Amino acid sequence: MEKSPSNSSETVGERTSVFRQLRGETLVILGIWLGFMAWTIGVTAYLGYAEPAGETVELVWGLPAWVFWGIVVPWAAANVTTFWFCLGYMKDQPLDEPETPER
Amino acid sequence: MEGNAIELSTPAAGASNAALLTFGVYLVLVFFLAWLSGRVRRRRDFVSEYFLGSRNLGLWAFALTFAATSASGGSFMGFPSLIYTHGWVMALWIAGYMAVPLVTTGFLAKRINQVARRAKAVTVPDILRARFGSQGVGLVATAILVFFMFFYLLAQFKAGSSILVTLFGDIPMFEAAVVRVAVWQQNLGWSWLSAAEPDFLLCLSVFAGAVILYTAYGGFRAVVWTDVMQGAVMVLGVGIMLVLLLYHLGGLERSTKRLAAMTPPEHGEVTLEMMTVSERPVALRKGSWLEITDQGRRATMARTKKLTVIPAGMSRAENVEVLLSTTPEEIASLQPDPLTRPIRVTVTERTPYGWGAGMKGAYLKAPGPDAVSPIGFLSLSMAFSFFLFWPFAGVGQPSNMVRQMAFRDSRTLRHSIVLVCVYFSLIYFPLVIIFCGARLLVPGMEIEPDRVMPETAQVLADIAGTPWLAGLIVAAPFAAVMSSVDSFLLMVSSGLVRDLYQRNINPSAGERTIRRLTYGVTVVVGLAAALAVLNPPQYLQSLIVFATGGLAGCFLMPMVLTLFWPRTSNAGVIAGMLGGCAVHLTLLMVGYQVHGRFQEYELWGLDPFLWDVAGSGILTIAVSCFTPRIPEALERRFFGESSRSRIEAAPGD
Repeated sequence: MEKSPSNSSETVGERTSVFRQLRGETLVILGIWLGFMAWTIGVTAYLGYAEPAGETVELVWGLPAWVFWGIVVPWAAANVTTFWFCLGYMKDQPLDEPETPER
Repeated sequence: MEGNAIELSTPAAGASNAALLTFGVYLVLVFFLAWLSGRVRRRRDFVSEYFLGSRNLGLWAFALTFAATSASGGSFMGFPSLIYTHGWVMALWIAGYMAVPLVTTGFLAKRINQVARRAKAVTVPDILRARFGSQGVGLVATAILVFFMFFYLLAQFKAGSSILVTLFGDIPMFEAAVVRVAVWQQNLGWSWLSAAEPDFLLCLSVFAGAVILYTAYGGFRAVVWTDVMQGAVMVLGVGIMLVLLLYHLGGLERSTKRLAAMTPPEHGEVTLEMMTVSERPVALRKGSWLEITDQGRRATMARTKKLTVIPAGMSRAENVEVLLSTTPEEIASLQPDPLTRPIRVTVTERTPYGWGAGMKGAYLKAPGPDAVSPIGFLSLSMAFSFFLFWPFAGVGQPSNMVRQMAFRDSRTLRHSIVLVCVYFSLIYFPLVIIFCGARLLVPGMEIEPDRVMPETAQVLADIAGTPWLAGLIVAAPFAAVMSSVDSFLLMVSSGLVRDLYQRNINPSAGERTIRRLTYGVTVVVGLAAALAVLNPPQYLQSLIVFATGGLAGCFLMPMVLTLFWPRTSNAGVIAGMLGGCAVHLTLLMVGYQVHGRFQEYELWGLDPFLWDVAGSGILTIAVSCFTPRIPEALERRFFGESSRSRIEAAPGD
């Protein structure tokens, strides 16, 4: 979707910088969601659903082990990733200014 | 409730009065904020200020209004009832919330804010109308929005009223008022009104009156300011509950081990037989515990699901619906209601759980116990569906979109996401710990699971010996309900006034007319929702999921494509919204036929939301490809580029 420089911005304009940046950020967000979905569903399927029937349930810090490794740990990691995304990756951009074609 | 197990933890009248006082202070603060916001509004343009707070929300306001609106009655009433019923598997059910702050807030926010500013839009239909230059697309969006929002309102009204019933339940003045309401209901003779429980009717009137008044008067800014306060109350309430519960149960590990020893109860029927015939009717309150003996020894304990009356001159009551405890430790600790001691109880029918019956550790395992389903509560495919549902259904919620139109700048957005992230972590997972532990504290709540939150709050405050704390803790779910109900009420009224009346019926309406109409519509919609919820379905969460899924199914894909794909046409968006709605309603009807209750059909074990979104997305794209695209000037206005020229210059780009 990248555009080559053009002298005729009236007829062949450019995507706004917000639009271009946001498209990239959206893809990264999708990737992050996909990663944590795979972690959570994968680990809980293995440790939680595949667990043999029986009375004993393994605990880690007072939580069922499948909850700890499949939900608590990825939840903490998702928080750290969110902090990185918002404070290190996502950019500040003007939202109410007129078109600012990129050159 | 004399003599039953819950009585031990039910506050006395004095305690309830202290809780009521705390709660009253909270309500006064809410009204004060509404009054303040009304003063701010006088200095600004009515429509932009009333519906969007002049597009100027800062960090705390944006983050907490977003979080508080998301955490609705479902989070504090429906969700706890599910945790209580199904155990630790609910941690997986809610796990998608780890991605909610980033996905729901970050996915569309900057773009939607930019487009809304450019279009000078104050509602979601406003954006669509401006983007496509079409009144039709705005009207369809308004109709769908009002339809589903109304269902959401019903759920919130039920939740708010249920909390008040619990809070006021033991106050003599309230009980006297309930009796008067009951007499009034009978005299009135309207079947719809008479069928409602009088205590619920009274609390519904109080709740609806309060919310309608402050929302109608204060508008969006009042909603946001009260959301900030309510957000703080929620996190404080959850924190206090967590500490009290873990302290009382001796820590998380001990609590979990005790839960592991529990087995799911059974639903059944009993026959009650008195030793003598009474000249007066004998009534057993709903929730009374009955002792069932076998050869003189206690065999189990049963809890009545409804008010049971043995008529005068009779000595028996048959087919009395009860919940039967199956956990030895629980059976030994429960005390039967003294009034029931002269009554002989015989079990005539018992229905074990479909999954988890007699299984120790069932509440710690996946897929979790279920009263009906033989495959358990949460299949793996449903777990995947919910992991997708929570973040992306959030993206598609018009109430979130409106908030994303209102933040001040992108720096505010970035820091708000971080704040929401911390906030949700402090709310949702602790709720799972609290209500798994609540099984040990308030047994037998399966008879009315939606009330487990306020019951637990009162029990904990009573244990702590600080009755005023019950007011603060119960204010947490009440705050959640209020912060959602006011937002949805405002969205429905903005849809009707701004999108329907001002845009289509009377575009030249003056500010005074719009203001009066807005106040009037907010009041009428609120009253209509209150009337409709007089006889609500049992599971609050069913309504929430239906409305949330419906809104997201209709709006997610059309809005994503509207914002990111220049080729999207107005016919495509209309087809997408109607298609999502049609799929959603079809799955509900099929589900009703299959399950015999208000529940959508899960085709191939997947959440209906996935099918809604797929249907809506396919229709939006397909119809857009075969219908004329929007005028080039509009495309340029929102995308900053003539994509037609671009395509000509670089096909396949």
